[in-house]
Amino acid sequence: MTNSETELVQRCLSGDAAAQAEFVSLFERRVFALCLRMLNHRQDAEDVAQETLLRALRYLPGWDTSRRLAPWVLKIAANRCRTALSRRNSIPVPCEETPDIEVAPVHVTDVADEVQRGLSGLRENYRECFILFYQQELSVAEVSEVMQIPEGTVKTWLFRARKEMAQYLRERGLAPDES
Amino acid sequence: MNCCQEFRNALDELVLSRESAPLEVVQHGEQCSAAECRAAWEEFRLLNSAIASWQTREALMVVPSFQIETTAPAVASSSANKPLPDSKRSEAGLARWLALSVAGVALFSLLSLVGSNLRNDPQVATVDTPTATEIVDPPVLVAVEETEEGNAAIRDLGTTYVSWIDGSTDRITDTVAFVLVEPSHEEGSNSHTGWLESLQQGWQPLESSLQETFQELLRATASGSYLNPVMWKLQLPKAA
Ligand SMILES: [Zn+2]
Repeated sequence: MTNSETELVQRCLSGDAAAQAEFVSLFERRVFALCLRMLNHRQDAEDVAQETLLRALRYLPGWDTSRRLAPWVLKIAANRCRTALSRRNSIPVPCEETPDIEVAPVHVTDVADEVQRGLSGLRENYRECFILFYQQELSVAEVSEVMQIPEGTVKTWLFRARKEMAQYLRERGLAPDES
Repeated sequence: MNCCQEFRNALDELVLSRESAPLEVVQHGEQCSAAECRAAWEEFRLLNSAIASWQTREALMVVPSFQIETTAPAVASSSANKPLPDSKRSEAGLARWLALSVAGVALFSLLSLVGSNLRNDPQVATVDTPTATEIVDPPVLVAVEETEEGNAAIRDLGTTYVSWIDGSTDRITDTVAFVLVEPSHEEGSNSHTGWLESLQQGWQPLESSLQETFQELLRATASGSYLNPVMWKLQLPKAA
C-alpha cells in the first residue's frame, strides 16, 4: 500500500468520478493483460476485464489498506478468469491462439510468439502462476495471495511451468544462442 | 550434495529474485565438467532470453479503453441542475403526480386514523396504521443505487406504484366506509356520540367525493391511460 493508493481509494469511495476514472486507467492495462493471457481470447478478456474493474470499484470498501492495491485487483481478475474458464470448459469455445507444433522451425524474431504458444499449452494453474510472476511481475508472496495457495506451491508450479516451457521451446528448435 | 544440486539451487534462487547471474555462477555453468550443470545453465539462459522477449512484447500490448459508469449518487449530483429532456420531463411530471397522490392517500389515512381514535375503535387503528406507514415510506426509492439494479427497479416502479394506489384506494375507501357508515354499535355508549354523528354527517360529502375520485382513477387505470401497468412499462426508457 502507498499513500497515493490510499488517497485514490478514499476519493473513489467518496464518489469522485474523476478518481474512479483514474483508478480504471491505473489498472486497465494490467487487468486486461492478465485476462487476455489467462483466457487466450480477446473479446472474453475485454468482458472479464470490464467486469473486474467494475467489481474492484464496488468492493473497494473491503480492501485491506495494509496490503498493496495491485495484487488485490489482480486477485479479482484472476478469480473472474477462473470462473470464465470453468464456464468455457462446459461450453467448448475455440481459442484464438493454440500451440501448433507442426509448423516450420521458428526464426529468432518469433521467440515471443513461441513463448505465447508454449504458455497456451500449459495447464491452467501453471499458466496463471507464470503470467502473474513474469507478466505482472508479482513476487512469490503476491502470487500466493492472488492464487490463494501457499508460497511453496507457487514455487513448485512456477518451476514446473518453466520446465515445460523450456521443453516446448527446445522442441520448437530454440536454443540459448539463437534467442 | 554434489555441485549439480548446489548449482541448480543457485539458479532457482536467481529465478525467484529476478537477479542476473553473478560471475561465479556463469563460469560454473559454462565450465563444469558435469553435463547436468551445463544443461541446467543452458535451460536457464534459454528461458531468460525467451521470457525477456515475451515480456517486451507484452508491454506493447494494445489495451482497449475501459469506461466504468459512475454510481447513481454521483450521476444525480452532476445532473441535478441540468434541464430535463422531454421524455424525462414527462416522467418527472408523472412522478410528481404519483408523489402527490401518495401524499394525499397518506394524509387521508392519517385523518381516518384520528377519527377512529376519537371513536375508541381499536380495529380501525390496527387496519390503518400499517397502510399509512407503507405509503409514507416507500422502500423502492431507497434501494435505487446500483446502475443495473436501479434501472430494473425504475422499470418496475410504475407497476409498484400502481399496485400501491390500487391497494391503498381499496383500503382507504373501506376505512372511510367503516368509520363513517358503520358506527351504529357505538350509539349511546359514548359521551362523544352526538359530536361524532355530526362529524360523520359532515364527512359524508367528502367520502362521496373521494369515492368518486378513486373510482375515476381506477377506471382510468383500466382504460389504458399511463397508469395502466403495461403501458407504463412500455413508456419507460430502456437503460442506457
Ligand atoms: Zn557443476
